[in-house]
Amino acid sequence: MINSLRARLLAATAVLLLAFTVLTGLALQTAVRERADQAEHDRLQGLSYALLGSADITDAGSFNLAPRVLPESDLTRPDSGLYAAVLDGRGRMIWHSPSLLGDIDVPDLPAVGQWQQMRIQAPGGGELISLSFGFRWVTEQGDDYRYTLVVAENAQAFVKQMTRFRSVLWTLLSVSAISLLIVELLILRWGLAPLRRLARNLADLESDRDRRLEGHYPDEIQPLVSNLNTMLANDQARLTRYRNALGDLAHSLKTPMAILRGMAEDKNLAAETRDPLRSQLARMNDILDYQLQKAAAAGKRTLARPLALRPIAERLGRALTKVYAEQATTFDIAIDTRLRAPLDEGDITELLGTLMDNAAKYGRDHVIVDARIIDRALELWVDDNGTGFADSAPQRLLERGVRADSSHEGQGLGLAVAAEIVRSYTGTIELGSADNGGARVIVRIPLS
Amino acid sequence: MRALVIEDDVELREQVCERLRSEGYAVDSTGEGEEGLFYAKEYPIDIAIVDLGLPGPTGLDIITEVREAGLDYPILILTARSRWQDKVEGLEAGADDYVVKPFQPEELSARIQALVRRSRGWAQPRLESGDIVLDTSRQEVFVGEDSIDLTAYEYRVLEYLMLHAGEVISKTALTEHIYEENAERDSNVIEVFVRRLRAKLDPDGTRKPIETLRGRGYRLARDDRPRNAAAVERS
Repeated sequence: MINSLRARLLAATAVLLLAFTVLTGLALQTAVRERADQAEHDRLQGLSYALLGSADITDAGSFNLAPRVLPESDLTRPDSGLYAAVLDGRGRMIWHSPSLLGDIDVPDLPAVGQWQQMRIQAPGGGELISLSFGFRWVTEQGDDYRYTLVVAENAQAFVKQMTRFRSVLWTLLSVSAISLLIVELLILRWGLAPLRRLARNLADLESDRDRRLEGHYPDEIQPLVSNLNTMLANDQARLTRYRNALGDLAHSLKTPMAILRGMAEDKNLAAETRDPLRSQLARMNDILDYQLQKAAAAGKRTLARPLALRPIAERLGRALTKVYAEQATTFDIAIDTRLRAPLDEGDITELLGTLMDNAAKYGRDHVIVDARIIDRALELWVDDNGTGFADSAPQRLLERGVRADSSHEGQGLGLAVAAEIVRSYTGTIELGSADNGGARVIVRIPLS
Repeated sequence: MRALVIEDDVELREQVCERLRSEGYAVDSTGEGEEGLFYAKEYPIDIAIVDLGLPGPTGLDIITEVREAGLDYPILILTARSRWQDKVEGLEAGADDYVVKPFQPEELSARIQALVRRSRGWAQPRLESGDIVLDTSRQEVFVGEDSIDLTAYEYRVLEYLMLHAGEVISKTALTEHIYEENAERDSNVIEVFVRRLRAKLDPDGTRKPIETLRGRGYRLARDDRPRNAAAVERS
């Protein structure tokens, strides 16, 4: 199956054009040939009448034609290519023009009063176009003689003319067919240009800032473009609205939770009341955080514009430097400036923020962030210089609700949340060791 | 130390204020963005705790305006939105740290103290000047090995002087930083506090830790220890 509009249209046009050209050529050729045959017939017939008009037939039945009365000088010049002969009833030649040097063989004699055109062998080889006419001559004595007049002309000129006509015809037809194909190609280019523009704009869209198809398209495509734009705008607006709603939900739930958490500090509360209150609040918060983060993840989307990762990591690094000023943590962003990946900005900020925050929290004072694209996948890793993952099965930390260190309340879900975001991009997350023994988190996100 | 709390939830605001007062802060508070912005720009604040989700001017607007006005006291964000984009925006606007709701009250206190301390160039929670040691995390004062018992106001005065060790602090400045806006004030009381502090810190009158500069104010001897230079230059 041809998978291109242009190729399809071109193939169809080519077949059509070929058929049309061949049929036209054949029709023209036949018509012209018939016309030429007719002309030849008329000419030979005229000559026959002229010959008959000047003929002199004796009572004995011998046929006579003086060379000087011959209507065409070619008939007198030997082997000129124009010949005339008269055959008697038994087919014997009783007269022939001086131009005829040999015998002439007419295989089939026409009936009296009939004209018969045919191709015959020339005496010296070659082909002749002959016209025979059967007639009878009744003398005054009442003798009845049966004759056949044969006028023949060398076919060479005729064949040559036809050959020439054919070659001119087919050449012209081929040239015009090829020209038409080229024109058709140009028409297709021009006609399909809006589609190409649409494709280009769609590709640009991935690097576009405002995710919108600009420009005016032909009536057939415009509805598609408008719908695409609506879809893109809705898509973006819905995500923003959704995240805002989740943010509001978080706000309206977490402020009362903060109050409850503060009340749990009351020194008058018995420990058996206070501790479950605190732990249940922490649990509620974990569930809320996890579900909110999960819900807010945009995940893999079509037409996502490729984002430069370095500026996002640098921004987070600057912000976190403030937060971890106490331990003077430095953030080393090694990501190539040119590295881009089609991820949602909110998602990648959340992912990197969580991983970098975790690294700063559990590491000593140095965090390295690097990324690269290998085999159509984004590989991103965050190293710290702490003591690494203590757990014998660190992968467990990626499961929901498991925290590496329960003393950092409300933050233990970091890795589980990061894993959830990575999963929404059908990626994988792996916990390992950095070269210096610290923790290393490796994220792989397929980009195709 | 004077703290400003801008939080629109009355109950949470009261909790935070109460806790800060119990830790020796003079606290001004409001639940309204416009008023909060006014306080933030007009009061002699040492630290501000700002909720990001305020009605009217948001916490982000307040932080931006405060920094644009050239004020550089530390600001702690209080937010229910735990997304990094929100946190980063707040920190970029000029906040110094954030605490996500719901928070452990001790964590909030620890962050606030660390911010105040760092803003004055102290890297450790223990402030030292000569043989006087003030532990900001426990609110305890020692002279040598001896624990000194101070009233809340005496503690506030000493903490402020120690955080600004080496600087001359006027009586007005002291008044402004240890009293809340609508508290009854009397600058003569400062003299009483300083006299009592001297008696408790230096009963023999030999070391004279608090200097009086006539007509200008008080000065606590600056410790020789190197401070966190980077924090002093913080913008």
